[in-house]
Amino acid sequence: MSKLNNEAAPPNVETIFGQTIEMHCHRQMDVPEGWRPAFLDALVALNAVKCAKRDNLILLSPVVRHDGVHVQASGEDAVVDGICRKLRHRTRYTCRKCGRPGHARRLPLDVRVLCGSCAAPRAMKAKIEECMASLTRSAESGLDRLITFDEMPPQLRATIPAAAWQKVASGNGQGTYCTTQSELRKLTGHWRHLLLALESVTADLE
Amino acid sequence: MHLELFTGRQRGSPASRDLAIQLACIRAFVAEHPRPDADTSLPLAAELPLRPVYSEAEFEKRKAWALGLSEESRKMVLTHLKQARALGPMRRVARVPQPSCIDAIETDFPHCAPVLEWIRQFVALGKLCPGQELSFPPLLLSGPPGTGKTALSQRLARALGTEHHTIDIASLHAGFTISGLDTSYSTARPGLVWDALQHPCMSPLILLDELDKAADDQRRTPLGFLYQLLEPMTARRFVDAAIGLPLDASAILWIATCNEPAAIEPAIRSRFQEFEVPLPKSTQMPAVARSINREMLAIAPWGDAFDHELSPDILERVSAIPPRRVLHALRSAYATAALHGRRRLIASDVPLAPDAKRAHAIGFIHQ
Repeated sequence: MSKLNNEAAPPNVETIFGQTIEMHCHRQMDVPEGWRPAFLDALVALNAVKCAKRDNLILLSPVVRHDGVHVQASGEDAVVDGICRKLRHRTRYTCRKCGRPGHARRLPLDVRVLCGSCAAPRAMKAKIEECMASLTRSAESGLDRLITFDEMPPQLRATIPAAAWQKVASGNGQGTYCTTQSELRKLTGHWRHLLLALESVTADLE
Repeated sequence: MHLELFTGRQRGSPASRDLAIQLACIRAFVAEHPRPDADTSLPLAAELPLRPVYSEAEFEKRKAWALGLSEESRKMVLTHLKQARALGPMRRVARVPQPSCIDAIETDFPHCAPVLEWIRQFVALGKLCPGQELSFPPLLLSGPPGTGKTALSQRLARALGTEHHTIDIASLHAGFTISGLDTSYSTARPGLVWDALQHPCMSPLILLDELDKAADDQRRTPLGFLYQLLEPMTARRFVDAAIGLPLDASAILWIATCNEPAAIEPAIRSRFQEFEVPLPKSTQMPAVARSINREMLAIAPWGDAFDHELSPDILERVSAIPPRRVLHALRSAYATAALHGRRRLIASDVPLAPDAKRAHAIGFIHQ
């Protein structure tokens, strides 16, 4: 590698490839915080493979997509492509907020790569909103449906007091825990309170 | 790429690491923002006590072992393992009931007050656990026939929100019905304990009915399985002979009934906490009769057609009947009322208590 560097352009004269790497360094703030370490590692790797053969390569502006950071070179180069592919793959399984391992999750309006901790408030918010909308619809129809423990999303169960669940006999002779929509309606005040608190936590990705 | 849908049903095992992280974060968030009117002593549903019933590593080993079996045995073992996998290793454990549940049982079973007081002690102990997990040592109810021992066990299971299984010891001839039959036999299949644990709750209440009437075979007792299962330490690794996967059976709640405790093998008897259930006193009989009447009307298809309240004169008449015959007497009374086009019982509908002398009129003559 050092041999290649020695064969590169004369000292003090930056190559186009080097200039675009430096430009990318200045644009690191455009990359979500959790993906930044992976992005900088990729730039270090690209800088390490600078050589005369790659002088005229231009790195196109990084594109931040829902499933990772996409960097592409103007020409074909297996090594540069490999580094870019590695960056794309690494960010696909890294939380864009905190950098912990994560995967793509569907938010109400978009898809984001998040870890469990960062996804939790968004999942809770989505589930609460979904449940409250369903309760409003059922209130109009005047129905009071039974909801089983397994039917209830786990993220929502975590907000429901155990006292709201009752053991009932099911068709196969085995019992199951159930709650009712009227029981859940008693919790809407608390859920509104939680949604308000969640606004500030989840606003950055909305 | 794995894509978790927030808007659809949760995919994968609920015990997955990712979901566990999410739930931990949500619980922390909810704890930081409590309901103003919330009773903080009550656990959240997500905090229901959970315990692994089997180990994932042992499950995989057993699955690999099953592949080497004959086709029929392999199919049987893999089917049962698949069912166990579908439920996941994490299962709910019985939670302490509300004090009002035990009070309600005591109202219906006033003659069982010492037993219920003993259970209350374990309820108090369970409240000290973070998940309010309930367990009590094996319980042996002895007493004359027809005192409501079996009914008490069923009511307890209902109050605790657990499954109720009954093993009729008098008709039990071999232990494999309970602990499974080895795969070397063509009729191999798992036993009742395995089946009872294939449920989201790993604390079923198992009733050993008529424990003193076990088949008297000196060479091989059918109750051999109880030596392991009644000891919490050994029950933690109960192995069903057919499936071979070690299960944690220590959360099972055991209740046995008998008429003659002395007829029970001492090694088994010593594993139980014994209570005598006497016949209800005449002052306690109205409460028992009310309870029997309510239970009968709740399940009878014609139950809604009648007034559920029993008048004092009916209760007085029913109180003279032995508890076991109260159900038959009440059913006859409702039939009589229906014949006369009434929707409410009157005292004369209830048949008189059978005369003790007439009871021996047919059969051997007692000198």
